[in-house]
Amino acid sequence: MKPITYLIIIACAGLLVSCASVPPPELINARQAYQHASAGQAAQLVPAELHKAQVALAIAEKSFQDDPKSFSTRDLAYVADRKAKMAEALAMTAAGNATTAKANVDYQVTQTEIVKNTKEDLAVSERNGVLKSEQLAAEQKAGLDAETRRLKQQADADAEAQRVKESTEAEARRVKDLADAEARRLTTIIILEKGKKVVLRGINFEFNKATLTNESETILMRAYNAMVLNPDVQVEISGHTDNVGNQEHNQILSLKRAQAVKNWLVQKGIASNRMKTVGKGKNEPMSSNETDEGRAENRRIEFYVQK
Amino acid sequence: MKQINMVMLAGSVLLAAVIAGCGSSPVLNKEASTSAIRAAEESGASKVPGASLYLQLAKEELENAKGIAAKGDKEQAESMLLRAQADGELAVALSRGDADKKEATEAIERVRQLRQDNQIPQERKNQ
Repeated sequence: MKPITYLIIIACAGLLVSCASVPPPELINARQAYQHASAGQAAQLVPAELHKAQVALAIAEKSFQDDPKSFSTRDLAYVADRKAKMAEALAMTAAGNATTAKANVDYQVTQTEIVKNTKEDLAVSERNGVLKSEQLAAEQKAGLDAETRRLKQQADADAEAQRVKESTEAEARRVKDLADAEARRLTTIIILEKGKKVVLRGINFEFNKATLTNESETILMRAYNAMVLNPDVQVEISGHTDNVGNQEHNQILSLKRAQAVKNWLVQKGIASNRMKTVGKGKNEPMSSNETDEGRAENRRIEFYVQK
Repeated sequence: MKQINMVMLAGSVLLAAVIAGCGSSPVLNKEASTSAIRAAEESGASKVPGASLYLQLAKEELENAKGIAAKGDKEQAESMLLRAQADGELAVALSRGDADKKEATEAIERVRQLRQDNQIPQERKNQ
């Protein structure tokens, strides 16, 4: 046989073999479906289902080898295709369930986190509330203290003002009383009536001397006024002492003091002949010489109106 | 003569029974396929776009099997029933898968909404 004859025979044989091994569409689909499923999540999530698809495909392949064109081969391949799709669908279901489970866990974790955050927020709020309350109480206390201080200062100021006012009023009264007393003292008129005695209280001398003190001028001025107002009157000016010292000394001292009064009035312009002087010593006391007050009463000048 | 008639009658009845038996369609075991179709319908496969096609195919294949059986080819009919069963079961799986997918989506949305309502960063849900 020629080589070309061999080639033709081989080609015909190959054509026959190729025609005999052309898989039905169901088997092609089944192979693709299994490849797709095994490349996806099915191998990891649903290995048992993928195994069923593998077994179904193997049965279809064997049937294809035994009887390529039989309806049984096509139906078995069809079933294998559906088994592969089933594995894929169950894998998606398993993935969905896993997602749901994870989401539920996330939900619980989130709820726990929310509760934790809420508790923390509540604790912070409570702490802030306590701090604010304390701050408010401190501010109120400070305000009350300030108000108390202000009221106390006001009260002190009022008391001081009242004290100053009372002191001022008391001083004013005292000054007024002094002024009134001085006015009364200055305006008191000595009345000279014939045959009567007038005691000139307030005429004082230096100790154991016949020298008039400055305080005596007021009463001397009143005596002068009385003498001026009664130009026809003549008086006897008598000096008196207490019982301290001897009789002779007191007699001389009382006379000198009566003369000192007369000299003062003469210097003021009263005629000398209207006045005569006499020293009585301690012979005519007005009060007891047993006390200081009594002795002061007894040391005096008297005008006796003679005419 | 009477005995001969009785024998002939019995033979006639037996022959009629044999002829009748040979003329009826073979009994198919459709339980697995019908159960799968019923389960697919109960799972709502007819309302799930991805599953309704397979439910429809399963029903058609069941009818084809009946037709083939009626023509007397029990073997091919039972082979066709395998298709019906496989499509019915796939319709069930796809229908339930759709429900599970919806449930997963809703669960994720619940988490997202919870975090949004409580001002918690969304990115933490993927941790």
